[in-house]
Amino acid sequence: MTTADTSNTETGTAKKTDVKWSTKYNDDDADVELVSSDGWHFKVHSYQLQTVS
Amino acid sequence: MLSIANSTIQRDPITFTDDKLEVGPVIRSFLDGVYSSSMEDCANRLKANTTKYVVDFARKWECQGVLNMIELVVRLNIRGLKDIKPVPFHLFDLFLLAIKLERYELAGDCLRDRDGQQWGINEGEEDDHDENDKRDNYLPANLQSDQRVDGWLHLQAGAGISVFDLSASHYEDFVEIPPNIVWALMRANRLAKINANGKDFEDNLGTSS
Repeated sequence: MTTADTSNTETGTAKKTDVKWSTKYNDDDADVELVSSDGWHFKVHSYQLQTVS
Repeated sequence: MLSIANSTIQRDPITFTDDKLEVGPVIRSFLDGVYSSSMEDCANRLKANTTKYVVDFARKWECQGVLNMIELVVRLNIRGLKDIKPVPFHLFDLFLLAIKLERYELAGDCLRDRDGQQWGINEGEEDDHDENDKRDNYLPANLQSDQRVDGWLHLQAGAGISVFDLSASHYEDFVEIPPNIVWALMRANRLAKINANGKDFEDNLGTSS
């Protein structure tokens, strides 16, 4: 996760008030953005999601 | 279903709201499954603490591909096959995953006698490792053949606690186990104690004359 603050979580380091971005799933070319209920943002490719649906 | 209609259109974010199931660690683990290039890759990415939630998440959003991948990894690990690098899960975690996946025959395989192993109390050496090390005793046999206690299906070496003793499980795991499975586990433990004490099975069930 992208970080600007110091609070570590299992998914990375979170920024307290800002948008929290996954560092692993944050591809600029991705066309789908998923937002978890606790505020983490993931950018993924739709074709990857379609392969498992 | 997490289906996307047209990849050329700029879309609004898909926002999840379930504060237990749809949190960052679970979605990340789910995506690890989605992006796995192979079954082995998936096995390397799975984590014991989030996989059960990934199963729920994948089922909710009808992502059968991820469920199939997880099931295959669980199946190969429970059956101790060498076709795959074992996942570092406690046997009880694999058992719970099999239940989550509604693959009860796999859950049963965690309990059944195999390779000449018998149900019974393992009177192994005293274990002076910490609790995390003790959990390692119940990894599938192919993961730790050199450390394998006599029957990893059995009772914990030195501590007298069954792998499937529900009173030794975490509460959050316990409450997720269906009642019929709870009964089966209690029954299996009872039979394990009976066998360990060398008593006749039927005597203890009260069916022998």
